[in-house]
Amino acid sequence: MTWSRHIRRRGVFMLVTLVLVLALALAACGGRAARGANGGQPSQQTQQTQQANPSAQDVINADNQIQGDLGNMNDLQSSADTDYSAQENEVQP
Amino acid sequence: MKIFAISRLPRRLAALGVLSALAGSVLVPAAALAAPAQAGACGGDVKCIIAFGDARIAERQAALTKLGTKIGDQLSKGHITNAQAAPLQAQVTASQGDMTAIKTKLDAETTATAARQDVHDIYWKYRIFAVVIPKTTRTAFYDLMTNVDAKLKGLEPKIEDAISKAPAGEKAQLNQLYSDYKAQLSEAESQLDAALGQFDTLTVSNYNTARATFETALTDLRNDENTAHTGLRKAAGDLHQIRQILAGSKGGASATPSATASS
Repeated sequence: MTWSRHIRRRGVFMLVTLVLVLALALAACGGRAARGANGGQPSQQTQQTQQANPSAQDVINADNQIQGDLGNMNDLQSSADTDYSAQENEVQP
Repeated sequence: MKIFAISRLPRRLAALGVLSALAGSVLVPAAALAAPAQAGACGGDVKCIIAFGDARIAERQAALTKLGTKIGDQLSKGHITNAQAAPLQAQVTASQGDMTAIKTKLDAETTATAARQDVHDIYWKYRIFAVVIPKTTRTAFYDLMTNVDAKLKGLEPKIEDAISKAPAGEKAQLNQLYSDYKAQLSEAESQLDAALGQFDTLTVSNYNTARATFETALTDLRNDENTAHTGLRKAAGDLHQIRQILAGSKGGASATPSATASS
């Protein structure tokens, strides 16, 4: 009776420990996922930039966008420079 | 050997005949399709004139559809605004309606004279290739450049602030780049202003009756826009160099922010 109660107690203790470990592991994973959803924590270097020279980061972001706009501007220039006027030479059937 | 060659002659002639027939079957329909393109080739054949006119309308409709897609693409990517896209799309829609209307009229014609007049109108009244498409495309290009210029111009206070906080050793180079940046934007803006003045001259009426005036305006518009484009590209180049220097400064971010975020 004493031995069986002792074994049962140890079993319950191990089960509680296992549940706690699993809960901690899940909480850790959840925290990481939440940080990932927010775009990840900024690096120390970026944090330094934002603190030391916040406008520099704005310039960098704007440059990224403008470089993308340039390709589009080139494409539209190419379309605008296409000459279709030959198709306007009237021909009567 | 000779007898053999002679005996083969009818076969060769037959083969030649088959080949000629094949070539004829390919070439004759091609000639028949091309024939309406020759002046007066249809003679009094109303159906022939209508088919020729319908083909010209189809070419214009296809080009207008392509232009409409291009404008929609610029709008959906946020390169031009709703207010900028609306008149361009309205022009495309109106021209598509014009082409549909002239097709309905042409297809119902019963005399060669009336059908020929409709074909003449496809060119003369609408000038889709000579006026509508170049003017609309150039307007979209103008709108796009105006937006890029506004973005670059709006960035000036940020650049000035970033330069003021940059290390002393980098300020001279940054200021030199920023000075060129402002000069290039100024040049682009004056060219865009000049371009704006050309659009009103690009009309169907001027194309038909004052061709030299029309061509001068189109050439000036092309030159103004292309010079503005060059200015904006140079300003963007200055910005890129400024960014690289700022990113390399002590406490600056990496040249590739995505790499910085993942580090």
